Amino acid sequence: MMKKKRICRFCEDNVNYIDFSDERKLMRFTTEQGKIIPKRTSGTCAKHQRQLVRAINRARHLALIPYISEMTR
Amino acid sequence: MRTYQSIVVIDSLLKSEEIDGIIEKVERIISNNGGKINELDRWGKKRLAYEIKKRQYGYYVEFLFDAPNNLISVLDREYGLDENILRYLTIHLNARALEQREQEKLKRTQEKKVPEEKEDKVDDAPALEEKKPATDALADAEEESSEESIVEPEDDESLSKDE
Ligand SMILES: [Zn+2]
Repeated sequence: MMKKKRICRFCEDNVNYIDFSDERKLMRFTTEQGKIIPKRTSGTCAKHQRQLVRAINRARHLALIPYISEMTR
Repeated sequence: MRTYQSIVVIDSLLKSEEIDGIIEKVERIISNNGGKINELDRWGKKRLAYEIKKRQYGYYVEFLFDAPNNLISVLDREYGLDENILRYLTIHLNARALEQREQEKLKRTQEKKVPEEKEDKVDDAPALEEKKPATDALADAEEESSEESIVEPEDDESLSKDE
């Protein structure tokens, strides 16, 4: 079986804090439907996934990004 | 004193004087309760990702301020009472958050100098689009997201410290 290499992009970029106001970045970690991409798919580590989920929820709360999106990109 | 960030989404159908009035009110509440505003950033009128109170646009304002702990509950109560405030969020910013913020700000000013491109290449991230999962794989991620109560006013960035 092939091992897929999964690297956390936030670890790679030395990210200590995920800003909820960076909508474009957050949207990359959601599907077309607006759902959060699970870490096993994106390769995000557990620590950063938690931060990411929190940032996405804050952005959703402020209507910066949708909870559920009907739009396709 | 700790540093906080507050985002207020104001009904953009208000007259600009009324919007200014709400902003001034927030400034007043902060300074009258022992806080000090460091930054006031009007993001301006933005399309809401979903309709709130029949509004499709909101006027976004960001406040960055130092404040004693008790100010936050005062502030959130005032936000909640103002029916022209569609959404609000106040969070504590720790040193890491503040540092990251400065870096992002720097990046953004550099980005502005570059002519607008379709893809955001500043942080040259590999495209996630190729790896989009099937919908059924998403269940657990959405469960994780329910951990957080988003309206909680006193939310420090303890997660990043715990690791
Ligand atoms: Zn990571």
